[in-house]
Amino acid sequence: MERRRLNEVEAPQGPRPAQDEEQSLIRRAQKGDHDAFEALLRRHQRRVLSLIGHLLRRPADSEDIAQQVFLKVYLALPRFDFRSAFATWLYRIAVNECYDHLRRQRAQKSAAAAEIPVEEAVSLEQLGTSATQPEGLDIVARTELRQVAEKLFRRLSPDDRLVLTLKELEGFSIEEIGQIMRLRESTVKVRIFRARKRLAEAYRRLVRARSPGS
Amino acid sequence: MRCQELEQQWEEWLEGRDAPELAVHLQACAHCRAVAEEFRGLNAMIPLLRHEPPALAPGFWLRLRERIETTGRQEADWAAFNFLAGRAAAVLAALVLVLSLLTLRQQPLTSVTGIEAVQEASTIPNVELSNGELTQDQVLVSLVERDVKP
Repeated sequence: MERRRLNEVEAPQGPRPAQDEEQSLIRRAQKGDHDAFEALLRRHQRRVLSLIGHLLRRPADSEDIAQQVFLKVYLALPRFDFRSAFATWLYRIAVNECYDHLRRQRAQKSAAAAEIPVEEAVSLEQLGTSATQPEGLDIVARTELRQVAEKLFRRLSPDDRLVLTLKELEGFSIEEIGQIMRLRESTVKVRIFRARKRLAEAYRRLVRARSPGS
Repeated sequence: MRCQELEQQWEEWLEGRDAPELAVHLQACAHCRAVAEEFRGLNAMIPLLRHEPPALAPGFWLRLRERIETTGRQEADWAAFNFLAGRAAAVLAALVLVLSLLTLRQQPLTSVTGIEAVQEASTIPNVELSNGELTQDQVLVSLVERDVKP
């Protein structure tokens, strides 16, 4: 899958001038220059919004959370000391905000999740084979599969959703996830493995529930 | 190796990178082979969850600037208050410490061991000893006596 680097910013220049320019923007923003602050965030806005959208999976909430994230960035920016990459620091704030939001959301909701409206669920093993790869499915089956994936994903705990989103949907490397979440790489790997297992388990339960003999 | 000991190698294996121990383990462990198949299925399904980030509504940056101006001011005031309160508490604590030290210096404690105190207390007139033992009061009297009449 496409991997985007943590420090990748939306700037037309090469990496070094872009980094220098970013540092200058940070310093100006730290002194209260709002235009510099806005310019700094605009460079990362797409990535932050993508992260929020993928994590929360509710487009309606994305903008409010983005506002909250950017406000926190503004308030914390004077304490940013350049010891980590700005992007890592920014995504950490975004991830923490989303995580808190997910936990609040989860506490409000009852454990009973909505029934998944699928007529027929293929097994994960089948999905892994080339004959039933999502690309090969017709649009209806693909949409259904997407709905299944969506609902399964929403049932995951905030922790599981977080690591899988960062790895599979945002394309961060294990090292980058470790930096964002302040975890060791080995811990990140184990967390992702366990999140995958729980997702597979949830899917298996669904298929069992839908099989004619159950 | 046991299945649990290989949990860290799955990411490498799924990305097609080198995971020799897991590869060997998969040949022998039917359970992990089933897990591997399921993971492949998940890897085919998860990308369906990808979507383009939502576009920001017009006025997003203006609203942010307004929020920063109001909330930022409140937060700044609160931070300033916290800073000052913290400093005041530290100064107060330092003051208490200095005063305590000064008080202690004005009334220096002579080094009296427990045995000395007991011996001295037994020489104080009008103090009756019960069974040759000294009460706590008697020991205290001894210490006071020692200070008043060194």
